[in-house]
Amino acid sequence: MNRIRPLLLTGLTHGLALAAGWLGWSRWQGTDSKETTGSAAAKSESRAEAVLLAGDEVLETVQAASTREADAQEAEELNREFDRVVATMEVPEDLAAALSAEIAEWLKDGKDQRKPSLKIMALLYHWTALDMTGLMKWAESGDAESDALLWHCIPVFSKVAKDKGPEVFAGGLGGKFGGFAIFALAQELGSTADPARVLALKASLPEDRWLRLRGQLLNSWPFEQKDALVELAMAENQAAMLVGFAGRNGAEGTRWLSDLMADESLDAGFREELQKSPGWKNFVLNGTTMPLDERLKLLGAEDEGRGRDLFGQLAERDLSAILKNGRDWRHTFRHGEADAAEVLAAMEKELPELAERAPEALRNQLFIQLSEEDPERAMALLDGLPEDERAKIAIQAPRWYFGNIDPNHFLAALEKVPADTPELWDARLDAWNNKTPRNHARLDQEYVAWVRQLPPGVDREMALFSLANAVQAKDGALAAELRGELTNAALKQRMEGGR
Amino acid sequence: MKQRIATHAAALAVGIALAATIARNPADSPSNSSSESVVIGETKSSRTGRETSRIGSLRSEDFRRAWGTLASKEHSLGDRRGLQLELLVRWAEVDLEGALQAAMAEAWDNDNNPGFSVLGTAGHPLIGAFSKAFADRPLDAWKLINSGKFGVGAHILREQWVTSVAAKDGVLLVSMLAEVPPSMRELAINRAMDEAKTRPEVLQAILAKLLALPPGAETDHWLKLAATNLPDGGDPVALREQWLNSQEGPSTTLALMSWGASLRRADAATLLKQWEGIPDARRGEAAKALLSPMNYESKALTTAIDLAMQAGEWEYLAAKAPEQLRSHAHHTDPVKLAEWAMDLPERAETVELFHRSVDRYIGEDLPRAKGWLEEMEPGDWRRERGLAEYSQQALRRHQDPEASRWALDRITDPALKQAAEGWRQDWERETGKVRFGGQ
Repeated sequence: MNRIRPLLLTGLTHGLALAAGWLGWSRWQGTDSKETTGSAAAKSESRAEAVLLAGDEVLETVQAASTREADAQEAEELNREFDRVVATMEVPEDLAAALSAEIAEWLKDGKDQRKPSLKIMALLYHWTALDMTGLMKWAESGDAESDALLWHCIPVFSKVAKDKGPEVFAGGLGGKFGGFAIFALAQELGSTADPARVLALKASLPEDRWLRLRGQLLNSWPFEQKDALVELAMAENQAAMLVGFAGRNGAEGTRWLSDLMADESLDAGFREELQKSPGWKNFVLNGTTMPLDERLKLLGAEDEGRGRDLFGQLAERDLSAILKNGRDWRHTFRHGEADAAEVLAAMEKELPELAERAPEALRNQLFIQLSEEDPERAMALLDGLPEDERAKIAIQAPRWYFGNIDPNHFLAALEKVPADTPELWDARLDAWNNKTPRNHARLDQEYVAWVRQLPPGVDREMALFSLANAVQAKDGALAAELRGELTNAALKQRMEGGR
Repeated sequence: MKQRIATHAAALAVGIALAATIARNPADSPSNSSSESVVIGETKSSRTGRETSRIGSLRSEDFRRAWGTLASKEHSLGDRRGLQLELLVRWAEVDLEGALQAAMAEAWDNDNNPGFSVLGTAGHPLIGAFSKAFADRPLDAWKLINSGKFGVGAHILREQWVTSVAAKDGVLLVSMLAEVPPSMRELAINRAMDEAKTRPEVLQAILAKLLALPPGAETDHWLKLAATNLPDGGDPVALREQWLNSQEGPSTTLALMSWGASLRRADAATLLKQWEGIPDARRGEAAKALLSPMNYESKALTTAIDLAMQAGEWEYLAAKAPEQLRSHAHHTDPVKLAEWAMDLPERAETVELFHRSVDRYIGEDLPRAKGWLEEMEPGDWRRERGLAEYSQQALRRHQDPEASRWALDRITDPALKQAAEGWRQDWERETGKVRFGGQ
C-alpha cells in the first residue's frame, strides 16, 4: 500500500511526440465525419462488384490515404500563418479583454472538435513578451482561461523564446503553467546549445525550476554539439547529464561516451563521477552495440560472482532492444509466420557474442518473449531439456513477466508447467498472486467471471485464492464468496491463516 | 531554415497534443503526468479523389486480408502498430465487430513501455483507434461491446467507450450511467464533467440528468462525484446558507457540493471562517464537501484534512486524502508538509497520510532525512514509518540499497519491518537483481 510508484516519465519521449503530433493535427484539421459515418457499411456492400484486392494493395491504399504527411505540411503552413498574424496584429491595449472575447468564440466548439485559434495564439504571444507574470496570473483565474492557455501555450512560448530570448520568461516560471514555459525554454536553449547562455539564465531561476530546465535541455541538444554539453556538465558538475545524453543518441552516443571515459585529457574525478552516476549501470546494460567484454568489465566490479545473472540481464535488455527497434519478430511469431527456432536463429545472428558466450541466457529470455505471444509454440525452444529443468525455466515467464497479457495466454503458459513438486507448486501460486491484482484492476467484473468459469483444478483454485486476496480490501463480501468456492485444503488453510 | 521550421512545427504539434492530453486530465500538470496518451481516431479526407473512392470501396474482407499480410512484413514494432491503427480506423467504419475482434486478438500489452498505461484504453495499445467509431455510433458500439463476444477483454473496450463518448456527448453518457459497470461510473462522470467544464450549458444538462434520477444514496453519490468537478466561483457565504436552509434531497446535495467547490482554492483563514458558521451536526458532511473537490491547486488542503479529522471522518480521509496529498506534495514546501505530518494522530487511517506527506521531504535529501529520523525517539510510530519510507526512497529514487538497509535495520516493529523488507524485494525483482539468480 505504501509503495512508491516507479519513477514516472518526466519528459516527452520521441515516440510520444510523434503520436501526439498526429493527434494534434487531426484535431487541428477537424474531420470529414459526415462523409464516412452511418451508411458506410451499406455503401460498401453495394459495391460488391469491386475487384478483390490483395492484402498488399489494401495496405498501400490505406497508407496512401493516410494524412500524416499532409499533416506535417499543414503544420508548416499554420506555422507561417502564425508568424504572419503575430507580425500584422495591432496589439490591443487591454489584452485580457481581447482574449476573453476570442476565447468565448473559441469555446463554442466542443472539446472533441476544437481547433487552436491563431488569434488567441497571437494575443498570448504579445502578452508573454510584454508581461509574463501578468499573463500567468490571468491564466490561473478561471477554467476558460486555463484551457485557452493549455491549448495554445507551447507554440507561443517557443516562438517567444526564439524571437525575444529566454530572459522574458524570468518572472513567469512558477505557478501552474510554469512547466510549459520551462519546456519551451529548454527546447530553445537546447537546440541553440550555448553553455554560457544557459548558465546566464540559471542565476535568475529558483533552484527547482533550474533543475527542471537543466533536465529537459537534453531533449533538443544536437548530438554534434556534444563538446558544448561536456562543458556545461563540467561547469555544473553533473556527469549524469552525459549518460542521459549518450543514451538518447543510440550507437553513436554509446561509442562517444565509451571514448570519453577512456579520454585521459578529461578530468579523472569527473570521469569517476560519471561511472558512479545512477544511470551508468543502465547505460552499460543497454549498450547493445558495445563489445560484450567491455560491458562485462564495466559492470563486473560491482557484480562479481553473479555472472550468470548478469548474462540474463544483458540478454533481456538486448533482446527487447532488438525486438523493439528491429524487425517485429514477436508479431511475426504470434501470427505463425515464423517458428521459435527461426526467431532464435535470427537473434543469434543479431547477438553473436551473447549467443556464443551465454546461449542459455539468450534462449531463456527469448522463450519469455515468445511465450507471451504464443505459450504453446514457444515451448519448442525448451525441447530436449530434462523435464525438471524445462519446468523451472518455463515457470519464470508467467511468474515474473506476462504483465498486461490476456489471462487466457497466462493460463495456457501455466498449463505447460507441472505443479508436482513443492517448489513448482509455490512458484505457480506466486505467478497467480503476482498477476491477479493488475488483471482484476484492469478487467474488473469480467475477470471475476473468467476465474469462476475456469474448469476444476489447481489453476482454478489458485485463481480463486489470489483473487479473494486481491479484492479483500475493497469488497469483503466478494472475497468471502470466492473463499467459499475454494476446495483445495492447503489453500483454504493458508487463507484462514491470513497469509 | 528548413530545419528551423521543422522544429518549430514539431513544437507546435507537440504542444497542441500535450494541451489536449492535459485538458482531458487536468489534475496532471506536465511535471507529474504519468501516462502516455495515444489517441488515434479522427481521419481526414484524403488528398485525391482516386484514393477516396478506392478507400471507400474496401470491405471487411479486404481489411482482414491486409491485417494478415502485416505479419509477414519486416516492420518494426512502431511501424507495424502505426499501420494497424490506420487499418483499424478504416475497418471500424465498415465493420466495427470485425475490426474489434482483430484488435483484441493482438497483444494486450504495450511492448514499447511495458507497465505504462495508455490513457483511456486500459493500457491496450490499439484500442485508441476506435475512439471515433465509439463516439459516432455510441449505442451500436455499446451493444456490441456488451454482447459477450469479447470475453474477459470487454472491460478494456468499455473504458475506451466511456472516454470516447464523454468527449462527444457527456449528457448521453450520464443518462446511460446505470448501464456502465459500477467501478467505471466514477470515470464516466469525471470525464463527462471535465469535458463540460468550459461549457456551462452542457454542465447544466449533465447536472439536470443527475438531479432527475430517483432520490437515494446512489444518486447522491453520483451527484457528489459530479459536483467534485464543478468550476470554482460562486459566493461561499450565500451557497452555505442555501445549503443549510434547504430541504433534504438531491438539490441539497448540489448546494452543499457547490459550496465546497467554491472554496477549492480558498486559503486556510477563509476555510476556518466558513467552518465557524456550520452547526456541529452538519460538520461531517461539510468536511467531506470541502475536501472532495480539492486538487493540487488547493493551498489549504492540510487545513481541510485537519477539519475532517476534527469531524471524525476517518474512513473518508483514509480513502481520499492520500492521493490528494500525493499531488499536493509536488506543489508545496516539503519541509512545511513534513512538519504538519508530525502532528498527525496515530491511527490506522493516518498511516498513508503520513507517508504521502513525508515522501518528498525524505526523497529529496536523504542526509537531511536521516538527521530528522535520528532525532526522533526509537519506536515512535512516525520514526518507524519514516524509516520504511526512507528505505523506499533510497531504493526507488536513489538506487541506493545501502541507505535502504540502514533504515530497515532500525525499524523495531517486526510486522512493519517484514512489510518494508517485502517492498525492497519487489524493487530487487523489478530491477532484475533476482530473476535468474536462482529461485
